[in-house]
Amino acid sequence: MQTNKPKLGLSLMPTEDFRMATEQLFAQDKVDALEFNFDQPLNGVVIAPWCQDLLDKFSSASALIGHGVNLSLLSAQFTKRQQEWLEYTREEFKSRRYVHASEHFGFSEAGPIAQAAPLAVPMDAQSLYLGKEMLKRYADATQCPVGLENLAFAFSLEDVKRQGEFIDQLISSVDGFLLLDLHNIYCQVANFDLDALQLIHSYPLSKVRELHLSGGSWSPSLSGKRIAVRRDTHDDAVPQEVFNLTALALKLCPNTQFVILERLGNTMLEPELQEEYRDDFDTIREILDYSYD
Amino acid sequence: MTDQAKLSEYQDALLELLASGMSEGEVIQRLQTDPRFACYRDYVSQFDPDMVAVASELICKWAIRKPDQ
Repeated sequence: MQTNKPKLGLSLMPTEDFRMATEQLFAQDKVDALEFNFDQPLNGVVIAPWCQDLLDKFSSASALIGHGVNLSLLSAQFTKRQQEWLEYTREEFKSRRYVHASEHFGFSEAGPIAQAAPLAVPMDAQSLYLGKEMLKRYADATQCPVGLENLAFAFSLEDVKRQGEFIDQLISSVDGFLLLDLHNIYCQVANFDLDALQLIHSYPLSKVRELHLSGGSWSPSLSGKRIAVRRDTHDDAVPQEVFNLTALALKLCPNTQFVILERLGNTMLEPELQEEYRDDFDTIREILDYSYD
Repeated sequence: MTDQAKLSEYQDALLELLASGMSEGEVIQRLQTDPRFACYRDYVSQFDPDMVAVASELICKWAIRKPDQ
């Protein structure tokens, strides 16, 4: 077990419900770190002054981490949009001090689609080469350690089984890190009836610098192959199973520096839901305290 | 054709099919029977229909199309 307790933080959402849900957490200095999806402004999202203040505060405290969403790491074609995305990222990382930067495994741009949710790719030599090249560009733009987040989505069981090893090969090319998203692990455990411990061990655990926790939702199974399909929708409370995985991951990932709670903006408009979010935060704090004190 | 061009063609077709509103079974069948994607046939044969349906929903709901498409 590591001796340095990871920083507990939030994924910043520039929405009013997030501001209301987190106001007291920030006021009471309970939040150690802030993660920012720094490419949101490229989609026209306006970052309100109260968000800018938080970004500046956590940047000054060396407790700001960046999370990209739309690079599309494993697209076969390197597009003008990606080039512009990297140029924007370069400027953003010059303007604020980020401890590290992550992106998603998978591809989300091809053919008629400029942006979408990341999807799995054939894990072959070509994808590996393209991914390594793009990670080098990302590292060059950010000038800080870069890492990849494991994907919730998989087209098949084989996608799930091979992802950990493939991500390890990708991040090794830039001495990068793994962002282990525990709700994404939970999705794959639920959808493919896997043993959680075995699945977690398929990832390069010594390279984990950051954990993500979130909630999600269930969709009907059209095939009838399973009761329902677990989705990484970030719109609900963190399930108990993910808290359990957190305690496990903290034991297995000795280099974890950040634990981040994610919830989509505009999904906690009611005061009870904001309270639920703070309860999730407090529960993670208890797990951290129990794991390290 | 280079491996990169093959992958590019496969990714283009996959997103186009997922965005088309076709059923998950049809998407899988098209990818499996199209001779351009013969090198991915084994990979596609493992696709889980539920997950293809999820991918299709994700693309239809969240995707942003390129300006000229």
